Amino acid sequence: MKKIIAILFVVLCLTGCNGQEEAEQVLWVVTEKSNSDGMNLQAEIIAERMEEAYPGLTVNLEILPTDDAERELRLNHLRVEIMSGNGPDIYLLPTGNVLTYDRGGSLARKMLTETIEPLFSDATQAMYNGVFLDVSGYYDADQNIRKDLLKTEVMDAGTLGEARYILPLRYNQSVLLTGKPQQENRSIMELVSAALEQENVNMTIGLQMPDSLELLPEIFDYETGNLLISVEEITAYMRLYQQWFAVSQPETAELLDELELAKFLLVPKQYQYEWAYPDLNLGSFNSMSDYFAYELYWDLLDITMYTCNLSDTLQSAAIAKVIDHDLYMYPLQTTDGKTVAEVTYYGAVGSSCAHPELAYEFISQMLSEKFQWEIYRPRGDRKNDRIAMQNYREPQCPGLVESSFPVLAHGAVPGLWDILQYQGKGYLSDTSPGGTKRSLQFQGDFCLEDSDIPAVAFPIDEVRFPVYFPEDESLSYALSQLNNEDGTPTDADIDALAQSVYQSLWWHLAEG
Amino acid sequence: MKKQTLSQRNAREGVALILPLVLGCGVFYLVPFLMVLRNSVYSGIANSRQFVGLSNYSAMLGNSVFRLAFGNTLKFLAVALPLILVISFAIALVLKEHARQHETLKSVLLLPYIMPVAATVLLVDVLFAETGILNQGLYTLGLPIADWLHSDLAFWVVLALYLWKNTGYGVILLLSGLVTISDDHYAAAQLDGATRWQQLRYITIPQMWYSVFFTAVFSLINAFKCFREIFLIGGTHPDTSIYMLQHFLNNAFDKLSYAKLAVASVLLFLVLSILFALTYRWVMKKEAYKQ
Repeated sequence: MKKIIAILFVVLCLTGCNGQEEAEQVLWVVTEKSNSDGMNLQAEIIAERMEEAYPGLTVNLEILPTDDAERELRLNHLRVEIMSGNGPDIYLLPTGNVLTYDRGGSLARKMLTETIEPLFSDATQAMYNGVFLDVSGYYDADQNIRKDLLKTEVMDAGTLGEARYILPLRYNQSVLLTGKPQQENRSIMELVSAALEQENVNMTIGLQMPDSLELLPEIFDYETGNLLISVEEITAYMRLYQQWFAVSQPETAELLDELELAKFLLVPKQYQYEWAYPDLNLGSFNSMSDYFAYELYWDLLDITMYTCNLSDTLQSAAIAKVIDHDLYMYPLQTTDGKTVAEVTYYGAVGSSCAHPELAYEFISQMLSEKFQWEIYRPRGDRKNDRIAMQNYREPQCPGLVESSFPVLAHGAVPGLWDILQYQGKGYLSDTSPGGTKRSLQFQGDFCLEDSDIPAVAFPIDEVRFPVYFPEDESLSYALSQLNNEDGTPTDADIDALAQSVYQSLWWHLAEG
Repeated sequence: MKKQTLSQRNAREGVALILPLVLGCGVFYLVPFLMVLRNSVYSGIANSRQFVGLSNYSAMLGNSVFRLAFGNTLKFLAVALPLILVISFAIALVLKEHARQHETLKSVLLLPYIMPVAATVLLVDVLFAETGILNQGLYTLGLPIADWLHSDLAFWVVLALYLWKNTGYGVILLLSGLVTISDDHYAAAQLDGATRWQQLRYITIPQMWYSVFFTAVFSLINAFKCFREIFLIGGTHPDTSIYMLQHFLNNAFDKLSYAKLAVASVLLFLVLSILFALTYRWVMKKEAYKQ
């Protein structure tokens, strides 16, 4: 009798466990809030498909909170979960610490940026610390991804030796745009120094020195735990930045003020005080919406060189084509003459994932042509543009261009242009004379091909994951100490500030 | 049924009484420590874990930030512990004569210890900030001012803070040891013509080793608790002179570096255990005459 009961008990346990296992297949996806780039929407679409394809599978999409206090609590909790081996199955995260999305709700769209503390301050470091699972087996066997179209250098940033831990999804790199051909590729330091030496104000305005580590030489050697950059290199960058800022800031402010006034006067009187117009900024010189509205474009303002990122080159190429101006693209090199790209969005399988094959399948769908080129993003009814623009949930807000480029880079341009073209249709033309005419020039048979954006084919020497530093330890904070808002240099000691930045880099590498 | 002897019954009751404590310590201290010990020889987390032997340890010993943190922590302990013991002992000796008359004074001594951390940090800021009272005073006197919290001086500020906050507690602990020494010993010594110094050296100190040891252990615990104040004063990365091991552990946790966290914890445990064992052995020797 005892034996029979024992056997029954074991059988019940086993069948119970089996049934439970099937019902309990859960994929926990952690991601950040997004509107303009449509990543949340795409993740939702993939989640729905996966649940349909695998009965019994539940995909829990967790969007991390952006409220500071709530976020800190959640991040702490997540870190404990990760360290204890119970972390998320999938990470679908942007790099950096700024989330950009539209606030919506009015005809004039307002971009909202929120500064957040990322879950991983350094994705490379997290990779070294074993937070992610090696998916090289799945990736190598995957026949669905068009690997021939992928930007190989960027994809390889997610590998350590033979193991592949991260699947980069989007990337960016700095590009130099000129109206005339250049003799050679030059570093940001050489270009800015030349502009300052020649006292070429327009060139100084167009060359925007980043206040991040983006164009500095390679910084971290994660293998040995040594810093590759020296204090002297940081000091030299900061010194030049101060000189550049002192010239560029007042001139840029003056130019923008002039343009603001001109823009205001362009608007019919009945609208002048009715609508809130977004302020102009340096990005306006290369924005299709500002070209439609005010005929703004850097080359039309006699700015001889203009720095932007890879995704912005689409707009520049389109405007240059319409106004029949020559456009040349060069990689904007780091201070030591290298071409660097940064991963801006990535997916990774958590090291504690119980269903790595499903998790990989989820992320790999993000690498398919349709997701990479965002063909899945729904399109509203453009017959009534005003209503479409007021719809907060509509992910394709006119004028919102994705901030980075898909890793399925080769062949991406026509698809991305199709989106920009669609977004351009939403342009409201009754606020500026000639706006409709200009916007219509971009519609119809107008098309951009890969050959229009040579920047996509630039060879890349190094690919990085941007590293997050608390505000008071960042390079941007140190640089903000050097100048007043009007560009006047302060008495801040550059050497001391460079030393503090170096120290922050040192802490970061040694503690992680 | 076999009849139990009294000693057997006592032993069983003893085991029963101590069992919850042993279980609690086992579950909440021993098992986690063994897990940390195991993780210190692995890299990665969960399914990405790989055995790497002692390479985490060799990497950690070559890590300059860890060495800085470890060095600062040991330096702080090496300076703070003897200092707090000497000061507390001196105050306790002074108070001993009037121990029963100054109950209020004893309570006052404990005030800094029970003061909320936020208030303590506010006090430090008021005193030592760049525009704080101290610098204002120095400036008024025409003396050079200093950046007390962001230079090497920060170490001494933190030391002063530790002493101010914890000396009273040490005094109370030592005082409780001093009052247990029988007055007869001192009376006999006085009859033999012993000086105050001789009484201290040959009567008081030999009988105080247990109390001193006990106070040292608590002062050590309080020294580690002092991290809260240091953290609130200097944040995650204070001046290098006050970058302690807890900063390293805290920041390594934020960066999900389990290996570094585990190795640093084990190394700290080892060093403290060795120090504790040596001190305990020394105190045992000193106290051996009582056996």
